[in-house]
Amino acid sequence: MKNKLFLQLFVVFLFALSANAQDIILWEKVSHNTEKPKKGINSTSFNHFYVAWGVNTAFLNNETSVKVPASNDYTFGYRQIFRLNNNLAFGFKGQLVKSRFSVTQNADKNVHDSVLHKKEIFLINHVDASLYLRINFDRHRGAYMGHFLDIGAWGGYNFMRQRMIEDITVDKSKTRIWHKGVGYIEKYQYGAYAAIGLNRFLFYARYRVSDLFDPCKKFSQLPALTFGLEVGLHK
Amino acid sequence: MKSVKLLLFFVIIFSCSVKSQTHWVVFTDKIGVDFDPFEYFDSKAIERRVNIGYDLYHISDFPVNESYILTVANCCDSISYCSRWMNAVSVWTDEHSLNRIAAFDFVQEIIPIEHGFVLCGKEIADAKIDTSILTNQLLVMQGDFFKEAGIDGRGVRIAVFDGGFPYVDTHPAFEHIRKDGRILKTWDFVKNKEFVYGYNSHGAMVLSCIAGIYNGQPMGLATGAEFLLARTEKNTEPFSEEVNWVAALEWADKNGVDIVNSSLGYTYHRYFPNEMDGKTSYVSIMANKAASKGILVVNAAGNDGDSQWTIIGAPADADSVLSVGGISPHTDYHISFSSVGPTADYRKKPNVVAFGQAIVAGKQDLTSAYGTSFASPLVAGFAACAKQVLPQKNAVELKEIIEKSGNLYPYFDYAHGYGVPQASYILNPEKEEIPTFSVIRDDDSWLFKINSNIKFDEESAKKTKHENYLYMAYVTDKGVVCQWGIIHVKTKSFPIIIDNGCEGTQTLQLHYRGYTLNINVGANDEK
Repeated sequence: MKNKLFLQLFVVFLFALSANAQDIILWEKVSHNTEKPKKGINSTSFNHFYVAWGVNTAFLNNETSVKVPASNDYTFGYRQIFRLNNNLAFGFKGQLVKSRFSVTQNADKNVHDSVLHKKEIFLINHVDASLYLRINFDRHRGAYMGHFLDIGAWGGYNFMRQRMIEDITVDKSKTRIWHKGVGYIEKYQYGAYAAIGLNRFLFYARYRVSDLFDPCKKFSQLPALTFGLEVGLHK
Repeated sequence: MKSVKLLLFFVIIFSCSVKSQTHWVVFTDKIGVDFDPFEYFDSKAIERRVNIGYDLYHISDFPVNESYILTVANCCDSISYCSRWMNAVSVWTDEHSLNRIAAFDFVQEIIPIEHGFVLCGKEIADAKIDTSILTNQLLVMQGDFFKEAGIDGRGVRIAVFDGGFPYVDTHPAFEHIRKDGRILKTWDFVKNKEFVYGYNSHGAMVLSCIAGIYNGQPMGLATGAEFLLARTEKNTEPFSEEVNWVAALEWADKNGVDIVNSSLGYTYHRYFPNEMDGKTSYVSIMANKAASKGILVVNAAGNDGDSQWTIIGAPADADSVLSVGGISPHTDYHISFSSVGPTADYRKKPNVVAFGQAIVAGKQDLTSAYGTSFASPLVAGFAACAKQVLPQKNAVELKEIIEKSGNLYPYFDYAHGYGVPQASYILNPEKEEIPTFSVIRDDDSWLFKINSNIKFDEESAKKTKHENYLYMAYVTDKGVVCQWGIIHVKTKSFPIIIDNGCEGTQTLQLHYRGYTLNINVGANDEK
């Protein structure tokens, strides 16, 4: 109510001045920043969007070898942080991930079949949710993200599962075949997550604990580990 | 096997993140410590203490107990500095050793030290130098009055704390200082050595705004002052700046400094806005301590005016610090990036303003630079001249006099403070205030009217802005300015709609051409 009245009075004030050809060249109100904010960096709660890019790389012996960095993840997400104290916070994040695995074509290949192609790519788009704990290493910090470690778990639904193979025919033309809704790729995946960060930048690692291929198929699993850089879209 | 690798992976990430940190270890007492001020202090430091009646054997000047230092040194990785004023040592160590140190009965407290200073200025590469700014950056403070009176800060000792002073040893703008041997001492607190003529050029630019002379034209007002140059900041090593700042302050005190210019600020990296109360950050606490020893600290308000932070940083929030905001040389009012007040406890800051865009010594020639970093040394030069005129004044008195010399005084707002300091007031404090306008109440409206004794031409007033600014500030009964602004006056009289929209507003403060009028506009009881 008060703000509305103030606005009305201020508009009248402006009109009165302009009618007399006086210019208001500066008008400022006292900042309310002198109170500790409840929302914002290192405040009770903080949220922001982020983008990330990471590479999928074979980590375990029984995993399918993939090409790096052609095997990668593009991520767009939203992160919420709840502050417990200066050094501890917990949060959740939701993200949309576009995963790409470019399978190395060699004699060890054991994905789908052992036939070698010019290119064999699995495209898996998924939505994930994560819960994580944030440990901050800056003992005394203000409205500042600082140095931190995130540890958490995640789970996701693979809403798009595709396989693409590319070959060169006898007449040297390129052919591409798309397999959509590939049944032997699991619908769900889950795993662990860790990141070290400084301000808006995080080096993250996601580890998929679950199988991505149906275990009954006896295929070598696609790489479980993703390393990458996340950039927070905040001040 | 899979789980072992997973565990290993998390352990590696975690161990990469754990590190030692720098802390102040504050001791309880200085029992059994000897101190001879005549051996420790420069004669000028003794003279300053005697002038203000400060105890030569004050406990804060005694050295830190050697046995305490040795005991702590045995428990930590390294000790970087011992502060007499804080009765503390800064140590680099891990959590485990800190717990051992905290258990000693002579340890009062342990304070973590984090990084996060910001130099309050930047050089803008500008091929076309506006020489009128160079002239006006001193004229706006009536520098010509000091010049005519032969005042140039002679005999006043100024310390400059910054990130480096390259080309101060070669640039022609500093030739007169070098020739007279007026750079008395230098110290690099980052590398612990004497050489400071390298690294970040910010310090050289700042020094030129205090005392530079280029092609015979002064760039600052204290061209005759003596200097102590301290390199306290290094961008790439972010854990030591506040320690260095405190160390440099004690070093400057020992070497007889009168005025310290510090064009840096600590803000969101370390603090929340509500902590900008002059009592929380220890650089602010130390700056106040310096004032008690007769040293005036002149500090840039900061360049966060148009960022999320907005308000002044530390140590500009300290009560005894002369905090300097910036105005534009083109408009003569608040330059948008200059941080504004009030402090978290609603004290009046910044205190005064100067040009937030200045012509400074560049690597080759001159360059244009933006930031309150350059407003601060312009005022530091002014303060040195004031100190030369009024040598008996202590730091707090000098700060008050400089505030009173502001061209807007007693008008105050959180962007302009008391305005730009004026040399005429320092030379002759008996200022006659001539009413330049009146405000007449007519039923519900108020009429602003320029007095007939004031020369006012409506045609030229439309073009000339600077001298036709009407400053307005609504002040609550608690002394808080709740809103303020500037109106360009173009006609001899016009109605003002009084908006007492702030809770408890009682006074509308108006300032026009050197005259300030307070109008009681009543209280607004609406909650």
